[in-house]
Amino acid sequence: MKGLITLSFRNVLRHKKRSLLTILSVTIGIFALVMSSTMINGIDETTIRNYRKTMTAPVKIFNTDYFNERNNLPLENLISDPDQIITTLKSKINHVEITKRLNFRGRIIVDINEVICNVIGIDPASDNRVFNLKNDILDENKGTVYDNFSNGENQCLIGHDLARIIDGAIGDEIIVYTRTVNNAHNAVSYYIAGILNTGNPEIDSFSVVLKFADASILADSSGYASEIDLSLNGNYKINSELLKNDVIHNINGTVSAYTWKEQLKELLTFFAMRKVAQKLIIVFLLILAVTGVTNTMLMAVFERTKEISTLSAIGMKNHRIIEMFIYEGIIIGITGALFAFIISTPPILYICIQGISLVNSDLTQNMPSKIYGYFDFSYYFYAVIAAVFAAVTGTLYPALRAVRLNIAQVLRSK
Amino acid sequence: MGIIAGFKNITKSYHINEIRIPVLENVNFQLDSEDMIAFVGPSGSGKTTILNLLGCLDTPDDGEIILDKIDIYGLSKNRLAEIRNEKLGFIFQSFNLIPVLTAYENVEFPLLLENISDKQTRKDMVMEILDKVGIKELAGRLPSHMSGGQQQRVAIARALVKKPVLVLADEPTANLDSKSAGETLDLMRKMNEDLKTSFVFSTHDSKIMNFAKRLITLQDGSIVKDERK
Amino acid sequence: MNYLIGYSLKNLTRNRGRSFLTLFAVIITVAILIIGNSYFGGVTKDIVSFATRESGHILIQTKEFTKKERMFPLDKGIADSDILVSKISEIKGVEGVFKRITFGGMFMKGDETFPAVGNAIDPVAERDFIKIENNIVSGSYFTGMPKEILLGVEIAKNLKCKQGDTVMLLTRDSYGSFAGGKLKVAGIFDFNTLQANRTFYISIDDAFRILKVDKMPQKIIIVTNNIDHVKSLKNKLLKMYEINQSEFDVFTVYEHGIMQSIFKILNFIFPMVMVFFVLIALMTISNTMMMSVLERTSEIGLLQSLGMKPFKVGILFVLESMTYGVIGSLIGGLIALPPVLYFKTKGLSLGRTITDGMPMPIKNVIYPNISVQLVLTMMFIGISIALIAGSLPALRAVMLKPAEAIREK
Repeated sequence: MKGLITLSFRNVLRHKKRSLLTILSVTIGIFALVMSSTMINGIDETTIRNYRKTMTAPVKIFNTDYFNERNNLPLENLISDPDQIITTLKSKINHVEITKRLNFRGRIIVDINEVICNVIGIDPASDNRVFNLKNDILDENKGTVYDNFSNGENQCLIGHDLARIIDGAIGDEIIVYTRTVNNAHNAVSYYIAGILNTGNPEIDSFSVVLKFADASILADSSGYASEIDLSLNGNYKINSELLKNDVIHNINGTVSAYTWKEQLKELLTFFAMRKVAQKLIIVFLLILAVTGVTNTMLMAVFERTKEISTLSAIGMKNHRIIEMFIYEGIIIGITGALFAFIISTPPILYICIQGISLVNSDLTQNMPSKIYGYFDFSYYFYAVIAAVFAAVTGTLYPALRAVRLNIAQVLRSK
Repeated sequence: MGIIAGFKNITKSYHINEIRIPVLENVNFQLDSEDMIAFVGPSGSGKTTILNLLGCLDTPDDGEIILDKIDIYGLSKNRLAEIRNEKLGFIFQSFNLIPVLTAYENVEFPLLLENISDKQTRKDMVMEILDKVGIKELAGRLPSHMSGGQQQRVAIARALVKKPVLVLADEPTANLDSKSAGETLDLMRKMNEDLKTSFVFSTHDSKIMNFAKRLITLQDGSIVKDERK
Repeated sequence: MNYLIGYSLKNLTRNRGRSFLTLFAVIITVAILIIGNSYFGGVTKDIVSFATRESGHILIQTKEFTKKERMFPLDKGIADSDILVSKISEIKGVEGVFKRITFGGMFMKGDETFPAVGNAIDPVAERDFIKIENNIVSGSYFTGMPKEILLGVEIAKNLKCKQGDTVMLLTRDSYGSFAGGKLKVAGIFDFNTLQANRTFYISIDDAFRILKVDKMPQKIIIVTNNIDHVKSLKNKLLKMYEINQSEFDVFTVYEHGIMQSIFKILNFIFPMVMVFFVLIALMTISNTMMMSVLERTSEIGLLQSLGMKPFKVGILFVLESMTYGVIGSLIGGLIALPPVLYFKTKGLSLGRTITDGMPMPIKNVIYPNISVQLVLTMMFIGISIALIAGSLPALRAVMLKPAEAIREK
């Protein structure tokens, strides 16, 4: 075994250029695998993380009819008795954190101009235990700003991009206009208590956050809520499916519970499709790499026919000969993977630590404004598996050819 | 002295483009242990085929081959490989050393195949035989850094390291100059005497013919003369 | 020269397994280049056509407007737009110059409300260029009557209205007062993209009247006869006195708003993927050619001793490599064409749920964009790969010394 590996190793080193080229094709395949996984998973993870800390709770309760229309933020099919549901659930589920939100569309009026916005009415104290808007406030004293927002009269938080567009700064007054539940027109002015930078463009570019009570007055919605958001106390690991089950047993027919996966269904479908496309590309690259390895190993078999026959003559068994070639393939595969790790580490570190900024993501609602790579050491593991798989697959045919040689004839040929 | 190998009614032919070319016709002989036998004859007379059959590298169309009391008919490829490893040694015209392995490693290789796992045992065996063939000091060299004569000595050492019952040498001197050839032959005779290993040659070389103890002459696939000197 | 080609071809049959693998690498690469580029081209075309509908091939607006673009300010428009329009119309390559206003408003019909952003266009002048007409799924294009509106299907669905209905549009005019009024739905359009289906169109004359903007459009959009030349046209425009002197921004379709980020991402990722494929193919071929030179060393020596000039020996190997390139590219092209052509007519449906979740305006049915030029370019790349890959080993063959080469075993 050890002797075989030594032999394989020296054989790989025999034609350095050829081996290098083959290793490089494996490297490119693996590099693409590792980099694209980092990038794409990074985009996905960043997006989901941004959603989860700002808008998408592990489990949400919606009015059943509201759910399908939820992206339009209608003021219809609201939850009429949110506080009662919250009280019930709090008493039935351990360690649960619950808050309610009222969401609707509005317009911010600046002089003669206006801009579309989403109004989010939150209950500051409980909201921050389910989501974490406080942490995304652009200010050194996040706590103070959040307190100002919670305790002051007619205060609001506003997305940083939206603030830029309306030239709004802390302390400025903005007028938010909407059409109420009863189709009346209503406009109220608020003071900007703080500016939010969440990384989620739906908040950063489009949202004004009000206190739930203020939002209720603006929309004339009599304390109804668009959604009830549930999470568990920070010390407990959340299984959204289990939490959803707990919730379902304690709510009645007009409202339903949805896990975050159900809330983000379209987005997750898109991610899944993107991953399929990515895998397809990787598979093709690996097929090409396999071709490269097969080519090289075929060469190795052809030019070493005599040697193979000699080994066979002195009593080496066929499966040992196959093994020897496969070791050569594995050496090429692993070296290729190692090369790929080395060259991919700096860009991966950069993407993971520095992140990549995307210029104004005005309309690209789902896309975070800054993407961080998501790296998992398991990628290296998969990469090595893929590389070894590619190498062994590429070696199999040449090795089988090697043992089918007619020893007597080969040895005879000069 | 005993019988080490025997051919009984061996017939062998090759097929080239569906044309049957007979190589051996009804060949019979027995080989003694501790002997030195040379198969001689013109090209195409069947010398190499006999060596290949003896070496279990090829199988006859008809007839029975007994090797060290084993009938090799119908044995699996793996079993044949084991027999080659245990009982036979090969010396080739073009040496056929593994180019990426040093002299020492080339000789050690058959031992690795037999799973002699104790490194020291292997080392002792390899150094002993390298010493016997007189190239102990070249143990660390690669084949490409040795002369033809030196390479053939390594090949002999590799053939003998397992103390086989029979060493098959196909034109062992054809690629050597006459001085190296003479030295190689002397070495093989010495090995024959020291280790009691039988040597079987196929050759055109009159030197070999002179020093072989038994000369079997082939013509058109049949034995025409079998003389002991 | 001919005998060299014949000899090269024969050499390919020497080692069939290897030749096949090498060809295989070229075939896959060329096929993937063609398929990938045509689908990418299809997606790009969709995005460009989306962007063109929004803002032409080139967009001119005041710098003040750009700053507050999301609010669509009505007081930052272009004064004397008529002069500018007629001047730009004279530039070679310009097919159409149109005034545009984009504004937000809220639709109301009974109890239903829907906020949306729409464009005010010149229905007559733009008709043949922007071609909204082709996407009308119910009703018709503007008929020329005042106070007509074209609605995206998303708006129509939400308002539960159909062609011929009247909708109430509430917006604010350039003085900040509430404005709007009743508009008759002339037609409903479907652009197959969620974002685009949430917009509407009214005529610019109606917009001038409703929004009270005194004939000052916010932007001027330009449609050219060849979108590939937008860059040079932009430079020409920037040199124009009227634009040069005023505070105008000039954007090409690739530089504006959402398109900017999309093109930035697409133009980075896609070529990178393609480069990976090209590199691997390059390595496979050069590997094969290196082998070929190596194992034929003594043959090269022989050829040289027969009087073949070293240069010709090099050509021999380049030709051999090119043969891989040519045959591989041809087969790759043949393999790639059927799926691309099939989906070019049938379209590849991604499903609405997926495209609606996408962060960019991609149609839910993709039609790959393939042209003879594209196929030829990709095949050319395939052959170039072979040429480059064959050159180094060929150089090595040229440098061999005949006496040494012929002795080689």
